Amino acid sequence: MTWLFAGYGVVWIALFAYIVRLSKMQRELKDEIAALKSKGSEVR
Amino acid sequence: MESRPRAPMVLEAALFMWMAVSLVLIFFYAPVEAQMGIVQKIFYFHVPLAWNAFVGFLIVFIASFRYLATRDPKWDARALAAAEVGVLFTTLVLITGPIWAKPVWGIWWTWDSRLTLTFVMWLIYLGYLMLRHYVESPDRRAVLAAVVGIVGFVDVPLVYFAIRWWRTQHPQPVLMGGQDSGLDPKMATTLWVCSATFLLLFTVMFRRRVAIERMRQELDAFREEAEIARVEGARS
Repeated sequence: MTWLFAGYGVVWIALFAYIVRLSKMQRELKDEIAALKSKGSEVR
Repeated sequence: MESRPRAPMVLEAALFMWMAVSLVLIFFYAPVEAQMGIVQKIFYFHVPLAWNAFVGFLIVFIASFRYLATRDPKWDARALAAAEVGVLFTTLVLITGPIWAKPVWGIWWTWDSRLTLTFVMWLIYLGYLMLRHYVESPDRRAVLAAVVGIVGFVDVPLVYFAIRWWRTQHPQPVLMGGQDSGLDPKMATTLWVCSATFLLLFTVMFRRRVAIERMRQELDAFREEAEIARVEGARS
């Protein structure tokens, strides 16, 4: 049972960590693009 | 409030539901294997992860070809996204395999053809991601990555057929493996449901990763445009 839960635990933690990382990357890029766009429109 | 597109939300809701169904099937529906005991249930994650990693690498192969033919950056983004999720899934295959092997074989690892080729496949696609990290020019990076994505795919069918072509320590195929292969119907149902769940998970991660890469490409184009404007401004 310990082996089984070790296996499942590793899989869930890794998948969850990857999804969290993707969400963070997406948010940061969205903010960066929005900032650049507003900066660009200010210059124009 | 910012509204989210409907398609990803539907996909994510379906994924959540399928995950719950898969866990119920694994723990309450699929029987415990007579010889290996409960640890055999790792199989329901291990095999779908491997199959979907193959799907990922097939996408890398197709998208790389498409990129070289069209030079459209969306194919490069798709190849990268598929490679990254494929590497994640292969990493988990390489972790869950030994966790099953230790109580069943008594060893964590052996250099048989299936295991070795899987490890080589993981190294190839890890190399693919590292190459992308170290080449600075976006066009050169995309072309080099596409070449590696096409050539590297040679190992994928070898991994799949290794247990059919050679005698290995790794268990023989339980599906489509000839006369002596087969799986209890309840185990087979659970395996197919888990495979569908992981395919859905792959799709959710892949779509999100492609969206991120497209945003990064947009950002790079923006910066390039700003740099050109700055240089031209300095000249005049």
